[in-house]
Amino acid sequence: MSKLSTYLSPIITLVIIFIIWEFLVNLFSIETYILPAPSDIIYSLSNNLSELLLATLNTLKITLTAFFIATIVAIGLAVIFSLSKLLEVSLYPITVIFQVTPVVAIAPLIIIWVGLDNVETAILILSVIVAFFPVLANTNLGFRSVDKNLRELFLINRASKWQTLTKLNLPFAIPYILTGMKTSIGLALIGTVVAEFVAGTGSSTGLSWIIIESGNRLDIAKLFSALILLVLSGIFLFLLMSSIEYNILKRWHQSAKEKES
Amino acid sequence: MLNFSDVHMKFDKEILSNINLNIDSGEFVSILGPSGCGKSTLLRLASNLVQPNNGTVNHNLEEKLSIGFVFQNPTLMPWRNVLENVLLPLELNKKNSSKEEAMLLLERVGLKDKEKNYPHELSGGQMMRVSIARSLINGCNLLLLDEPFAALDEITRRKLEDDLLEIWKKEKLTVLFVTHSVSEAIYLSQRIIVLSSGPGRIIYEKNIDYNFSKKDFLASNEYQIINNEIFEKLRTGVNNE
Repeated sequence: MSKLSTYLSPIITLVIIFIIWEFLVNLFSIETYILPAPSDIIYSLSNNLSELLLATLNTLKITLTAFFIATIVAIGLAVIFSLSKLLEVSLYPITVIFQVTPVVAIAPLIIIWVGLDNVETAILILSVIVAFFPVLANTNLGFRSVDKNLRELFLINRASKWQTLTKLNLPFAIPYILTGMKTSIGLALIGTVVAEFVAGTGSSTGLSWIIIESGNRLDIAKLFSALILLVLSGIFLFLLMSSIEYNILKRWHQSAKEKES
Repeated sequence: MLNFSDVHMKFDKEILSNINLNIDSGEFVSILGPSGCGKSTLLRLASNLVQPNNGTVNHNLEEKLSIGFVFQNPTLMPWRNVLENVLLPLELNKKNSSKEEAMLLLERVGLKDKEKNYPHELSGGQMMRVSIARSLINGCNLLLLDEPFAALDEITRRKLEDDLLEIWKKEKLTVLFVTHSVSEAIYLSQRIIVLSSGPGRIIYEKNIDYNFSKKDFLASNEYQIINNEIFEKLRTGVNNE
């Protein structure tokens, strides 16, 4: 299959789905407040473009900030775990508790603690909680997977802990960290959206609030517009992370080489 | 140079038993033995990576001990290019990175124009050459090799063996070489130590004296006699397990 058809096929499929959707909505005269036609959605999108784009930017801003913080915290924790077995066995179970607790269940608590005046901070914290675990788990796995002989080589050369961390463990774990980050960036978006939903009092300014508000007003075309922007944001974040991963690994890692071929 | 005295080593079970071995400075010694007889453990003892349960391992040197270790796999860092891999021991020992020295070593191991290549761009033999160059960059006086050529084809293997002999002679290194291959051990070494299967004990020592070229030695009757003799000792060592 050629590269062009790889990119074109899903686009053509989507266009066909939209055409059939438009045709069926008109054929059965379905009300706009139940299922708007794609043309209604496009009309709504263009009418509310500035509001929708602002909301998208707000959601993306919180998502990317949460993702950045989650990555730093997770790699930092993994480094601490690699240096101290005691800290690892003490703290790792707590991180698992955060991972297995649904964000919806702890969101009200965080919002109360942070205060409704600072709802964006609450959303950010919730998003970090959702996003940090995949990076932590993968970085941890990367550190544990370091080649035994390379470890021995560092020992023979009397490498310090710092040298072993910076010249061996971290570079070795890079592909693992990037895999964790790829999962994490999607989760950061989900965490942000869910937290916005729970916080949905009007003080939130992201896409979720527009979805809630449009649903309440039965403005389903606007709801779909927000939903499309949310999907596009998710795709954008995934492609962004994939591109970062490829550019970091392209010179030396098998996965990037296979992608090239 | 390197002395093992009454060394016993035990992990889950006894690995090495009553090892007494003295290796002189500049000597090329091979360790032969069946799988699991503790050959690699012997190298790890020699490199101070592990300590014996009983007995002592001493390095008697006038100069500072510097160990080069070549593993069975090339053990290169895939994120570093050839030159960066070779320079690693200097970085770890906080010595000034000497690019010229690394380039000379790469030239000596036949990788003159490959310094910017990444490990995945090299063949198995080339990767092993980088590994050898890396082990020498620190100016090592004790070179430990753990079945380094086991995964290579016969032609590459013979070429690397010749290169190793040349480096040993030029650098006046002390070499402890672990191998499965009787012919490789005879071809390379001045002395061969045969270990029995678990726990590894020294069951045979053989000095290889020759006054002619290695290639002539390979074709000689003497080579064949030694080969049969060592093979028989190995077989007895395994059967007496």
